[in-house]
Amino acid sequence: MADRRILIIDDEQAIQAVASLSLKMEANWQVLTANSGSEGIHKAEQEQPDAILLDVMMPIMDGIGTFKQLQQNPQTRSIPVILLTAKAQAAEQEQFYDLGVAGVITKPFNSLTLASQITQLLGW
Amino acid sequence: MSLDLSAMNAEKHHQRMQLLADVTYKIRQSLDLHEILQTTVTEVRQLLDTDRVLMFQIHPDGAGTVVQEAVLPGWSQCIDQNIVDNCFGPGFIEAYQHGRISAIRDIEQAPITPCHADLLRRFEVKANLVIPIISQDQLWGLLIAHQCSAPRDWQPFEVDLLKQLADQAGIALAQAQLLADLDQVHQQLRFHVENSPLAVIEWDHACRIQRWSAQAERIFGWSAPEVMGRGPDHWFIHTDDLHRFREQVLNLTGHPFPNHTHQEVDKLTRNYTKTGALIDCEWYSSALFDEEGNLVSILSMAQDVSDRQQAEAALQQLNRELEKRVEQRTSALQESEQRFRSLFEAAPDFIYVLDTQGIIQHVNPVVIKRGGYRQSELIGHPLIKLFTPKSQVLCQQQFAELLALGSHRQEMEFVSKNGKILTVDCSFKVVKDPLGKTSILVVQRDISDRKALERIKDEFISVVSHELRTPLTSIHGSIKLLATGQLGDLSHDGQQMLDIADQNTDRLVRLVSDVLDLQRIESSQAKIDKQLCDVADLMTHATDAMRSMAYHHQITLKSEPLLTMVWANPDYMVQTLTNLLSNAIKFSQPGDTVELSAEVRIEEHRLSCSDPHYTEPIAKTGLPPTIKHTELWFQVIDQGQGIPADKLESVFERFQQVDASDAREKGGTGLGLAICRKIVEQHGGKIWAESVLGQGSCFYVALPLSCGLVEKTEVG
Repeated sequence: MADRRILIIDDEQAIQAVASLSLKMEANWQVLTANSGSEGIHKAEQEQPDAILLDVMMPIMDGIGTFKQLQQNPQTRSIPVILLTAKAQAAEQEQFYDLGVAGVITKPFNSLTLASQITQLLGW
Repeated sequence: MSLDLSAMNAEKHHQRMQLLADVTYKIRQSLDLHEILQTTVTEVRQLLDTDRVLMFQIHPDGAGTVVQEAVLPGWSQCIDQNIVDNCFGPGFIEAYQHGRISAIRDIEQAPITPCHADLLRRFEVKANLVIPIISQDQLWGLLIAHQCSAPRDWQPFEVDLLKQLADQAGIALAQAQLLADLDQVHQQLRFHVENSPLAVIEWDHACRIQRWSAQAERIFGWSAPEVMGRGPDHWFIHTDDLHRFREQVLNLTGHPFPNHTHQEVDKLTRNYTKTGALIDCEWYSSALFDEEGNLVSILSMAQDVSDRQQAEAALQQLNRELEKRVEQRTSALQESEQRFRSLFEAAPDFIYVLDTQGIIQHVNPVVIKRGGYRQSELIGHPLIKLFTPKSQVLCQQQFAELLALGSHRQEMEFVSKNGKILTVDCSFKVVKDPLGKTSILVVQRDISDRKALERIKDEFISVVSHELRTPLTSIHGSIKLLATGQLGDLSHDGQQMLDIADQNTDRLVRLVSDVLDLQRIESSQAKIDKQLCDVADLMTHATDAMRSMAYHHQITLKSEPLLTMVWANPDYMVQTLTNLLSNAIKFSQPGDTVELSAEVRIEEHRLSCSDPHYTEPIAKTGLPPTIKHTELWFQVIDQGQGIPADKLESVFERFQQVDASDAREKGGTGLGLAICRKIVEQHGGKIWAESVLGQGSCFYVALPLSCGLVEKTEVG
C-alpha cells in the first residue's frame, strides 16, 4: 500500500490507539490524531492529510458538525472523510452519504483490515 | 099499456144491467191483459150485435195500434194495423183524454176530415161508436164499435153500456198492469233471493221453516225438502248459541206492529252443516205482521263468515306476533343504540362521523374535551382543517381512494385548539346505514405518547449502541492486533488466554450487534424502507457473504438465483438470508451441502370478515370468497442434525436454541432467527421451518409479491 497520512478524530483515546496501530501494522500509514472536532479541523488545515477518519458521536462538536465545517472550509473541503459510527442502520448510513461523506465504517471495525476497508472506500 | 111499457123498460134495463154485470164479471175474471181485451171486444160485439169491435191502443206519440178485434166473418180485419194521428185532426186525442164519446150514424154524413173518412171507408165502416178507455187517469186507448153493413143509430143505452164496459176494461187493465208490475218485482226478488250470497230462510208463526233458499242449501248442505217444517234446534244451532238465537226470534215476534216489520241483527251464531261441521254465521232476521198485528212470518238471512272469522283470528294473531316482534326489535335497537351511544361517548379515542364530502356531522365528547374545540367549530366544518398542512395534503390525496376502497389508515398530525400538535393514528371507514346513506366513520387515536416513547427508545438505543460499541471496538481491535503476534510473543498459556479473549470478544460483538439489530427492527415498525429488489442479486449477495464461512466449515454452498423482483428492503433481506445460511452451515457436518433456492408460488386462502378485501359471502355456498396471493418463497436446505418437531416453532424465539450449549459451541447469539422473523414479518411475510431429525432442515421465507383479485367463484 502506498504511503498515506490519515487523521483520526475521536474523543476516545482507546479507539485512537487501536486504529492508529491497526493502520500502521497493516499498511504502515502515517497516523495523526485529534481528540475533538475543533482540534481535528485545525490539524486538517495544517497537515492536509490524505483522509480523515471521523467519529460521529463526540461531545461539544459531533462528527456531523465537524464534517460540515470541514466542507465549508476551502482548505479542508477536498479531504475525503470517512465517518466512524456505532449506528449500523442502513437508513442512517444513507443520511451520512447524503451529506457527502466518502464512506462509513461501523464500530466495531476489524482492526486487521481497517486499512484495506479505507482503501476500498476511497478507491485508492 | 104504459104500465106494460114501463114494465118492459124495467125488464130491459134489468136485462142490460144483468148483461153488463155478466160482461163485467167476465172481463174482471181474468188478470191477463190479453184475455181481458179479447173478452171485452168479443162480449161487446155480441152485446151490440155489431159487425166489428176493436181495441185501439194509443201510444205516447199520438199514433195507435189495433191490439184486439172481434169481427164478423166477411168483413175485413184490422188487427195490428198502425194508424197515425194525422187523419184524426187537431185535438183528437186531447178530446178523448177528456172523456169525449163519438157516435157516428153515417160516416158519409159526418163532419169528419176526408182523411178520417177514407180511413173508415178502407175498413168498410158505415157507422161507428168510439169510447175512450181511461186507465189510472190516463187515456189507454179507444173501444170502437163498427157497423159495416149499413149506417146505424147508436142508442143511448148502447153508448152508456159501452162506456161502462170501457170503464171496467180500464179498471181491469190497471189491475193487470199492477199485477204485471208485481210479478216483475216478485221475479226480481226471487232472482235476488236465489242468487244472494246469503242463505234466505223463512219461518212461520210457529218458527218452522217455510222457505229454504238455494244458497241456504249450499251453505248448510241440507236441501229444502229435508228441512221444511223443522224449527231452530240442536240439529242446526250449536247448544251454546241456541238459547240466545231463540230469544232473539221470540223478541222479534213479541213486538207485533200491523203492516210492519221488526228487524234484528243477530250476533254471530255457530251453525251445524249437514256433514256435522261447525261454521260461523251472521244472522239478519225480520218479522212480518199482517194488518191485525198477527205474525205472518220471520225472514232470516244468514251469511257464512267462517273464512272471515278465521282470517280475522289469524290476522289478530299475526298482529299480536308482529307487535311483539316490533316491541322486541325496538327494545333490542334501543339497547344497541344505547350501547353504541355509550361506547361513542365513553370511547377514549376521538370519533367523527363525516359525510362523503368530509364534512363533520357528529363528534364524540372527547373531541371537544381534549381537542378543545366547541361543537359549533366542528359540526359542519371539514375534518382536514383540524390537521397540520402536511397532514391535510396527505388526507386530500387519500380521500378519493378511501371512498373507493372503503377503509384507510393514516398517521396524521392533529392541531388542538390551543395549538398543540398531537400525532394521531386515524382509521377511516366508509359505512352505510340501513337507508343506504353513506357516511365516513373516523376513529382518531392519540399516539403522541407512543411516538415520544419511540423517539426516547431510538435515542436510548443510539446511545447504548455507541456506549457499548466504542469500548468493544477498542477491546476487540486490541485483542485482534495482539493475536497477530506482531506485538511480541506470549507464553503458551498467555496465547491460550488471548485466544479465549479473542473468541469471546467476537461473540460479544455479534451479541451486541444482534441485540441492537433486533431493537432497531422492532422500533422501526412500519418504516422499513422498501424498494424493488432483484431476487437473484439478494441471493448472490447472501451466498457470497457466506462463502468464506462455508469454505471454513467444508460445506458446499449451492444457490440457484431466481430471476424475479420483490418489494423489500435489500439490506434486511440479505441479513435474513445470511442468518439462515449461517445457521445451516454451523449445524452441518463437513462435506454436507447447504442450498439456497427460491420460487414464485400462488397461494389461495379464504377471506375472513375482518379482511379489507372481504365483500360478501358467495350466494351459492354462503362461504366467504377466496383470495389468491402470489408469493416469493426462499428455501434454505441443510443436511444437518435436524430440529425436533416440538422446537420448530420455538427456535424463532429469542435465545431459544435447540440445545442450550449451541450458542457457545457454534458461536451463535440465539437471536439470529428472532431477527429473521422480525424482518420477514415487517415485510408482511412469514417464516417457518420443516425438519427431519438426522436428515436435515428446511427454512422457508415467504414474501408477498402481489395480492390477487378476490375470486368470486366457489373453490373446493
